[in-house]
Amino acid sequence: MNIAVTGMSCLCAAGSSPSSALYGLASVRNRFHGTLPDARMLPYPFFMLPDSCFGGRRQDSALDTMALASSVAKEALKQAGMGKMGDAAVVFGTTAGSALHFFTTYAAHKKGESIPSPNDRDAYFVSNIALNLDVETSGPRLTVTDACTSGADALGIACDFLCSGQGEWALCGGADAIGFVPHTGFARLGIVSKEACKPFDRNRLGLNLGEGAAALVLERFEHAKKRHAPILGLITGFGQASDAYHITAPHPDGRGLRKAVSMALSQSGISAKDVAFVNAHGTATRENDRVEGRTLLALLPGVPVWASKGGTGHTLGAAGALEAVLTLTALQHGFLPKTLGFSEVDPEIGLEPTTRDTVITKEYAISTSLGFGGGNAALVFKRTPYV
Amino acid sequence: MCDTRVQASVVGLGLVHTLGGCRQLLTRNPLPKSPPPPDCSRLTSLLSAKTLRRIPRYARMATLAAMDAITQAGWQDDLANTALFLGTAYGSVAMNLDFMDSIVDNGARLASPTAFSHAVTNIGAGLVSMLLGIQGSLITISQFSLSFAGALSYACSYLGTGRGERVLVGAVDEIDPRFTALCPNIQSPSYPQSEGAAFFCLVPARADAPRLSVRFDKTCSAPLLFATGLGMEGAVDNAASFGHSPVNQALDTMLALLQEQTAGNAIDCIGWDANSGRYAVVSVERGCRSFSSMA
Repeated sequence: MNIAVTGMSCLCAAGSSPSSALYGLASVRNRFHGTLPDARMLPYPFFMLPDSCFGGRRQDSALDTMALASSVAKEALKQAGMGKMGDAAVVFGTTAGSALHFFTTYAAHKKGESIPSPNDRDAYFVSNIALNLDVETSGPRLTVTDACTSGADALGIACDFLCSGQGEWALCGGADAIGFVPHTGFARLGIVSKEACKPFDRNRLGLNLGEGAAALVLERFEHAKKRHAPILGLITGFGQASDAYHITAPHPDGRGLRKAVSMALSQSGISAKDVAFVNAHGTATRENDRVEGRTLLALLPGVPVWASKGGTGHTLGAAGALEAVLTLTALQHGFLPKTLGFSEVDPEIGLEPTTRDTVITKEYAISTSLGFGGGNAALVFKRTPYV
Repeated sequence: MCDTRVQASVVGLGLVHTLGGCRQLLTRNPLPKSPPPPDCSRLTSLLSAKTLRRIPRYARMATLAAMDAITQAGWQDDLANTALFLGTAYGSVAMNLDFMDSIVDNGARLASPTAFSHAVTNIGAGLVSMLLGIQGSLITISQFSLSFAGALSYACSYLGTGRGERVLVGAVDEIDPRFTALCPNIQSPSYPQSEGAAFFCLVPARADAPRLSVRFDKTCSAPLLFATGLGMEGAVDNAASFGHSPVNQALDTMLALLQEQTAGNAIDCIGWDANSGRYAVVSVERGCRSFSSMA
């Protein structure tokens, strides 16, 4: 598979462009921003985006997610020089943007109080990213809701549309703004840390949630070359597989992840020795990091592992797309940051992720995602000489 | 117009719905005003009580319909490389509202973690894959009434790329009176609300089996149109027997596959999302094989 990336953009706590986010991850600073935007939220910090990302004023998680998606989509389309969509597919991943999280309306209704207007319920019905994104296309519109693999799956689905002859290019990505309901849910699951997260660290205490979005314009390679588009990199492989094991815990042997990574490598026609690094899912929960770390060590021995959530938080439905942008940007720049938050190897895992900013020279990198529901995704990226 | 022209063939069907199963779909009897919920009692003879203990009704409907489709296709002995793509408009509504109830009633500090973990939109696909041992790709698409069309469009592309040989694609949505009271716009003034799950076993397109494809506009070319719930002139509207539900496009598709017709005839099944005004059309082309004898 050779799918060209001709446009990409991102918004996350580490930066508001691919380069600024990558180098933001390399700088040591206060990693949280702002205070919790909702007084009802339990006191677990998260990686917030500034209000300017939401048009100056936050509304609710559905509209805020839509605002993020619109912003990154516009930027990616502009970079790719794409105007009319034609029959291009629109494929976006999200969690908050598709969930029934209209708590304010529901609570008022349940208590017999009058429902405020405008309200979060009405916003939910007009904020489905794929259906409501302000682009005109007669192509497929898919809102992917695979929990934390949504963003990666959206990219893989877009690639498959192109490989099967559905259109010449596609707009894809992921977006999530954090609201009260998911914030409460993750806190109550006991997997959120009150401190800055520590991916793969022996003393990790859980994840930090984060807000973010990323969009990519993907194009059939021949189409991109024909129109002399700047090719930022290639997606050469995608793998996706289910653990079929548990709703919130990964398979102890990383069954689905092994399969997903193997599929992506096989489709790319490469092996571990060709891979510059892995951008791991690395949420900093006990379970995820143990299973993912062990699986990556077994499958890709000697390949450097980087986890970016120490500087972005876990952006849920956006994570796979955001990490795809960061992975490709790192390949482009030949520069891999240290893993923020990591300091001590966990002997249960035996994995030491990047501990210093590193120069990379190999052409390929992998990004992995794992999610509730048992989904696992892997994407392989290749640097191109056309930057 | 976008017509993917990527087709997939159907080799198995399963339906668990307010109206009943595949046989009842064919009879097209009108639904009563307040129909009973779908009967999932058969699951207790197929899966252990312990296994089913924490499985919400939403996932029970999906699991049973998926099992029926898998059985008809003869896939039950090899699901390790089967993919599962599910379309759902609202996900597990009851568990979502249970979680919000737990916040309202007990406060955020005591909200139910179990309800939250079962409220994620992809819980249906996750539980079906877990219960049935499906280890291929696992994808959930959520875009109101066009969720099934979205899942099916990817299934066709997935098979078209050669990435896999088998896809179980379906639609599932449930009724919850709390949701209906809060969102009266999801009801129809003319037909009762309905719920259920419809599954299709798909393989790469072949001449001897019915074929499906999807396009995302309302251009239709088939001689016969199904457009349940849309009130579209010249189209068959099955709402009296299907009721009102986001899974209706999947039911139209299944009916098009099941009913007697001249081999080779095509039926276009039209879906529409009222919130965005978007359309999707599922084209059903009959090969020489008919599902009517299997219903």
